[in-house]
Amino acid sequence: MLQVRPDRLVRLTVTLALALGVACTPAAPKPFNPDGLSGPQILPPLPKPELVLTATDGRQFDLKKETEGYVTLLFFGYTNCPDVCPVHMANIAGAMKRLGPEITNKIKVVFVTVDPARDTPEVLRAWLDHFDQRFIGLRGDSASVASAFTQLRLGQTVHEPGVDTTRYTVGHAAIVLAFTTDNLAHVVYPFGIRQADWSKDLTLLVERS
Amino acid sequence: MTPLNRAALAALLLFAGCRKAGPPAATASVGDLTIDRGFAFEPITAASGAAYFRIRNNGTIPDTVLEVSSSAAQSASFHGSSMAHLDVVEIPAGGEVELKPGATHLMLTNFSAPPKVGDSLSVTLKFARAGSMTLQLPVRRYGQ
Repeated sequence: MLQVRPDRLVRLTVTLALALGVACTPAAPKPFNPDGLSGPQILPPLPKPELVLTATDGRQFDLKKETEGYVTLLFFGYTNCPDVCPVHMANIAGAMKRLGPEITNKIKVVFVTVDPARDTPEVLRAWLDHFDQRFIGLRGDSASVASAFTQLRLGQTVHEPGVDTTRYTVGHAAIVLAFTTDNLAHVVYPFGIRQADWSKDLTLLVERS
Repeated sequence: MTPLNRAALAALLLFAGCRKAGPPAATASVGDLTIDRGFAFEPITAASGAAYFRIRNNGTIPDTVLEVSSSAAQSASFHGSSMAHLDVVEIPAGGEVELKPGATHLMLTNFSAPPKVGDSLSVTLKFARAGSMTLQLPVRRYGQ
């Protein structure tokens, strides 16, 4: 259920008024065209979450601000994850290598760790570099990440104890969210999307943005 | 060409065809169990990795995995897609259990020497009925 807090409502009204005032000839948002995409469409589309974390270089990273104008792939995972996370990352990296800079320069791939205790900035950076040095790694407090999960309706992560206190695993959503330049995710990518489909979809998402 | 030569050529072509069809995968059998589609991914760090295979039970009695280990890693355990640890892996009579990416997998942690593409990863399974067997799983790169 969509609930708008009164203070947000005021802000929303002000933002709307500003937006209307700025745009002399208000252009209606382009309707999203899902034709030919391998990723399933989600309705209604999901807005990019409010999420401010720390990038692997130590800089504060405001997701909305830093990815404005880019096709943005957002994935939550952790580097000790042996199955879903590296397979998704390897497939996206493989697709990015096939595509030219005219496409890849318009894409940002953002990986948010759900295991900041073990994923130090160094560990996270080394792991992402294994796939693609352009990939952005973010970490931060669990409350911020939990809030993003709620905003994206991804459920929550589940801490699964392991053989000792350092070898636990973390259950988490296995989908990659793809935001277009309207800051909405119209499509998501469940596990099993092949590299060729990623290449095709990333091209289409950039072209349609 | 003699029939024998023709047969040899056909066998060779089939073999070449099989090799071309996909990355290598291990097969093995013990008792009523046959294992195929076996492979591991090259671990990105020494901390963790994953291996996959299919176990078929051709017998009329279910079997279970009692122990799993790898000489290359400190621990090996079965996990479901949600990463929950699976204590019991049962192979039903006349049925199969398939481990594959994005689903149930064998998670290996703390490699002493992480295997590289081209190496094989040794995994030993001990079954309640069929006994023990050691698989040599070819190592692939993630995304292949």
